Amino acid sequence: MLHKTNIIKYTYIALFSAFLFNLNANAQEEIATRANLAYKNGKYADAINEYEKLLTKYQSAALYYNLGNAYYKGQDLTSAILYYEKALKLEPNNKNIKHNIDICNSKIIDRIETVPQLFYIRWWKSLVNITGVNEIAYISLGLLALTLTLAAFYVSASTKKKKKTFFILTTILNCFFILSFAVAAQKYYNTKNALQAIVFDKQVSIKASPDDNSKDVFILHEGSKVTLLDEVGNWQEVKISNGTTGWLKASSIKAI
Amino acid sequence: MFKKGIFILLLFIPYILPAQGVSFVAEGPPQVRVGQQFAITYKVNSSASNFIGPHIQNFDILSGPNVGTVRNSSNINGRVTSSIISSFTYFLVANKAGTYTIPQALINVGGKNYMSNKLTITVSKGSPNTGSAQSASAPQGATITDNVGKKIYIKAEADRTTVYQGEPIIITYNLYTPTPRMQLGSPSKIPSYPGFWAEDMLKNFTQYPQHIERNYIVVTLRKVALYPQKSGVLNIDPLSQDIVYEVRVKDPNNSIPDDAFFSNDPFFKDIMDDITSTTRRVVKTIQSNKITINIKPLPQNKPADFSGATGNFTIKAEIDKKQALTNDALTYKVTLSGTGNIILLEKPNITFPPDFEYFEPKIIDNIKSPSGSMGSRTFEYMLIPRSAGNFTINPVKYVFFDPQTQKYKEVFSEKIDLTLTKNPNDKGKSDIQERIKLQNTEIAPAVNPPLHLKPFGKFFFASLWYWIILIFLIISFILFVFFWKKNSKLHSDKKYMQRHKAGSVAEKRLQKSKSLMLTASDEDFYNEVAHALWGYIGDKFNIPTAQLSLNTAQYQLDMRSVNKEISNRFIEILNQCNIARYAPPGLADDKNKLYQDAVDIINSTEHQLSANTKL
Repeated sequence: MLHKTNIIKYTYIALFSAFLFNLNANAQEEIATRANLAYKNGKYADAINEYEKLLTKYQSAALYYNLGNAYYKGQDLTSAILYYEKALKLEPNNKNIKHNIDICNSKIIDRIETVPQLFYIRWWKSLVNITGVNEIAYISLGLLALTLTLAAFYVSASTKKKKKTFFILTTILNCFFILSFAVAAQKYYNTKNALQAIVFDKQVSIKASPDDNSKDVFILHEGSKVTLLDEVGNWQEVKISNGTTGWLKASSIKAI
Repeated sequence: MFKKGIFILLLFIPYILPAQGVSFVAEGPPQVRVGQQFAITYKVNSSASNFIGPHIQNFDILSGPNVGTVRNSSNINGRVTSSIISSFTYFLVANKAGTYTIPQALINVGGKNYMSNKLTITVSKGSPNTGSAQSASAPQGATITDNVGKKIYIKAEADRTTVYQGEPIIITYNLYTPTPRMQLGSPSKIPSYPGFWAEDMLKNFTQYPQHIERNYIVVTLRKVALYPQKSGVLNIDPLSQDIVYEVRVKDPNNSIPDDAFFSNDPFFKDIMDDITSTTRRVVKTIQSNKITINIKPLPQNKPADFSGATGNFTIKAEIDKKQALTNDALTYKVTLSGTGNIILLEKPNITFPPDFEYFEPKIIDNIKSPSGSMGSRTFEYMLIPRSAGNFTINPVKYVFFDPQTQKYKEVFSEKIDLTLTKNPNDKGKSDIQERIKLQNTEIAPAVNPPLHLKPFGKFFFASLWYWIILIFLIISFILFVFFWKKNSKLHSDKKYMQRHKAGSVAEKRLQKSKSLMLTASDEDFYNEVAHALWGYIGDKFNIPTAQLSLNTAQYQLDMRSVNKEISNRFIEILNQCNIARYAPPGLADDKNKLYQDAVDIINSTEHQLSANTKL
């Protein structure tokens, strides 16, 4: 009896909270609509304001992308790059995001030559960026289900020939599952942790060591993307795409 | 008890015996003077280990313990004796006058520890004029005539005694000697110059420079340029130098009586002195005078970009080429020349145009005076311009203090204009066009809601649901495999299947017999019922059809401890079937009853058997 009432109670709570969440989500989408309207009317500051309200609790590639657009139109190139990069992190294959990043990067000061990476690192990176973090998670579960189904067929196969075929299929699918799981894990790690950052200072000297008196290795300007390495106090070691590393104050960059 | 005591004594004998010959002695001079270097030696006539030196206070240890070993073998009348003497020597220097004791040292010989004697050393005040320790060995009562020693002296001179901070002072230490018959020992104390940057001006000399001044030979022992680093009245410590010269020692036993007739003739006396005395080498430490220098602080109104330089300088900036290609290295030089603390000049503060890469400058000195106060210092920068266009390297400003005018002065280098053209070797011309094209492209439009907002930082991967689904999939697979295996095992067991299906097979046959009840002949009906019953027995107990009989049936039912009532009834029904097959046609009711009985008995047997197997 007690069990039953508990179940009913929890069901009510679950339904109610789902309803509330939905309501809330609707409210959020309403804010998004307002922001988009402001953007359309050229009130970019208002649009930024509205989008950033949403950003306190929610995120999505579309939100970051729209915010990036608002910043771009509001003549803040550096912030635009930051939000486009954040959007791209969630949706690595979105052509619009890539296009807008390219436009922004054509307008920044620094031109850094990209050193080609080793082929397997390149392959792995492009594999990781095939889909977003959630999609690859679903894919991995789907592949697992498929693998296990094939394995079940293998177990229940009546003839030797069938058994052999299903064994091969199961093995291949299993490899795919393991790969997708690894990609999902990497993607999850990449998305959860800030691995790159955008320079926000107009001009920043990259030092040889985490010390104000140490010598300058090179100079970066606002909008340049750096890969985050080590951290010492308020100093951050960074690497740029030509492979050079150096230290700068963590306050001169914003993590993607 | 007494015996035990002797035994213990005997045990110790081997350890005591060799100890008798060991001597461990400390040797050292009883008297030294302040600043004199001397040695103390600990000698032991055996090979020893674990020398624990004394705790030496009041003296500075210059070196030690220095370990030495001397082995002596002698062959006397065919008898070879050998001895070893190990020595541990300290070189000490006394710091202050007084009588001091150097405590015992410890040494281990053959597993036993020995102690040396204590040493008592009296340190006398070492005034330069009385310091002739080396001549202590002169015979008692001898008179030492030291005419030379008094005349040798060191004079320290500064070119000026009042300077501004950073202005160089040259200090010269000259030794004045009336006779060339003297040698220079090592300088026993070279002054350090706290508060100054010292530049040794004789560092390129292999010999002390000499010149003659009136009746003296002047030897320049040391010449330094001092750059005051702080203001105030600073003392410069004297320089001490050991000199070696000869003195005459007159032996009283070998002297000519004073009342001799020629004793009043000074010339003759000198000659007589020469004849009657011997010469002896004397080591003496002489000290220069102290110098006090007044260093004036720089005036208070220091400009913010004051470089710290004192003197008078000019600045010059040059570049190797004014027209260059991008990414080609350029050499930019800033030269400061003039007089002052050149060797201490800091690099000027230069702001290069943006997109110029530059490296720490190379410093090239061109010093014209040994004091380092005249000449030039060049800072050579390597620049790599990254972008094309017209650039200007702004004049470099240098602020220094001029002690002559007592004012801060600013000097500026020339402005340098550069024209940089794009390096044709630089790739990326199409890159630029691409970029320009991109710059003129409109951004992609905003996405219309819904924006598919998700709570911040929440992802499906590694979430609870992800793991639940993953584990659910794996468990369901494992369950499938488990049941499938079990099932297929049962399928592969024929007898089991026969037994397992016996009930349902019998039921099917009875169903068939029911349909025969009305349509077919009585015989067929009874046949079918008997067949079902017999078949059931055969399947259930895995008995081949040939071996089926009422007896075996009874036996098998009893074996499985089927209720007596049921087994009897089963046999009875089987009998009824047999009888009815050959009996005249009966009533439909009979057939119906038999059918019912057969169904019931199979059901109850099945029940009973499954109940029994469960038990």
